[in-house]
Amino acid sequence: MNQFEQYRRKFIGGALAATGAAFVPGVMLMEVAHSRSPEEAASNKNRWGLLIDTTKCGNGCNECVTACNTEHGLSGKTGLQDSQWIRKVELTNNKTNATHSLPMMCQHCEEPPCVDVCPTGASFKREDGIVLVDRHICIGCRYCMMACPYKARSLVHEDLNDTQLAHMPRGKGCVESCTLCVHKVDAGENTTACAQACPEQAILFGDLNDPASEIAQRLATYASKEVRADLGLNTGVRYSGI
Amino acid sequence: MLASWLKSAALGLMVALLPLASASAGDVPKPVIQKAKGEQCVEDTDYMRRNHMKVLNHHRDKTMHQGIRTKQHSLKNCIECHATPNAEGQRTVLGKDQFCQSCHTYAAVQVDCFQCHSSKPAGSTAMHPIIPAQTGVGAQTAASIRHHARSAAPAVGSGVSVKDLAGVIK
Repeated sequence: MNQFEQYRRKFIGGALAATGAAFVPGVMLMEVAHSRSPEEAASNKNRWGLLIDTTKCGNGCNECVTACNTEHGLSGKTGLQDSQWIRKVELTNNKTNATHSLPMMCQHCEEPPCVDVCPTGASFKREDGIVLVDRHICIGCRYCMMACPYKARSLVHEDLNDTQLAHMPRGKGCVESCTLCVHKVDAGENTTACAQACPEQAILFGDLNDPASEIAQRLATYASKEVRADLGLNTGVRYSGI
Repeated sequence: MLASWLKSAALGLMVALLPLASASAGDVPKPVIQKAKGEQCVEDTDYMRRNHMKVLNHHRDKTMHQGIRTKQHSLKNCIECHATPNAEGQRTVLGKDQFCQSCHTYAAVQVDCFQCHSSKPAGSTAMHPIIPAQTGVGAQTAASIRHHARSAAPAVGSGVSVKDLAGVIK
């Protein structure tokens, strides 16, 4: 073995060791980020939420609303008696005429008023912070609709005649609202239909409890607001730029 | 004496009517049990015939409140295996002679699941009437929508009235 060969072997050995060292942290990351298995219950280790960048959100753009309607089989009508899980709200400052646009949906409060007022326990907050309606228990009294400061909930007024999607049961006489795409969260997809659809990536889904998640890091770095923070509900949906 | 005569008369009448009664019971059509996918149900068939509702209710609460989405006892999974094509060729568990409805009609038990749940297996919604096709505004690019929107006078719009907003944003 000449000197060149020895040097070559040493170099290759070193390169392999370096590659191994680079891969090990990657493997660890994969393990940390693993999704919940179907048998595992949702836990309060996670708190799912959204961060919406209103500076990116376009006036007149309705992509998130359309995506939500398609995902959940909503009609897309916007009458007083139609289900709307996301409402596109456009704001104008009267003094400066500056306009703002933002999607408004269930804010997935830590202290949800809809849960407080529900007489049957149908309106509840899951361990991981997602506020849902158990339609098996809902009697359609609509107290939660009145209690919600965000106008996030709708009552299904008409028979849906078996047009529901398999993953999204809905029915006449029950209240419903944004589920934070709980079927996607449970499947480990870690995103929502609205976040996927936004052409400007203005909607970011993530785990507020995980300091390594992008949403937690952005919340820690940039200013963000809760809508009606004065109510002290600690919402899971935060807005930046308003 | 009269009582015992009445008793025997009643008994005689019952015996005389028995063939009639059994004949009318035979007129009620037996439920059609459609062949499902696979060899074996998730539990023993006899157990499922008596207890499927308990199994489903138990699983429903775990799924709804804890997010446990195992497939074994999920209604979606039941439908996946037991849906069979109806007259229109659509796979479903509802309708005359379809899996769920056939037995429930025979037993005169109302099945409430499908007021909310889809009776068709997942992925059979390609022709879903309620989902709009991706044309028109939805197919436009966001930039073009924004350009259009900005050229108009700034206003509170998009179907949400000022009254609606008043309670939402402070």
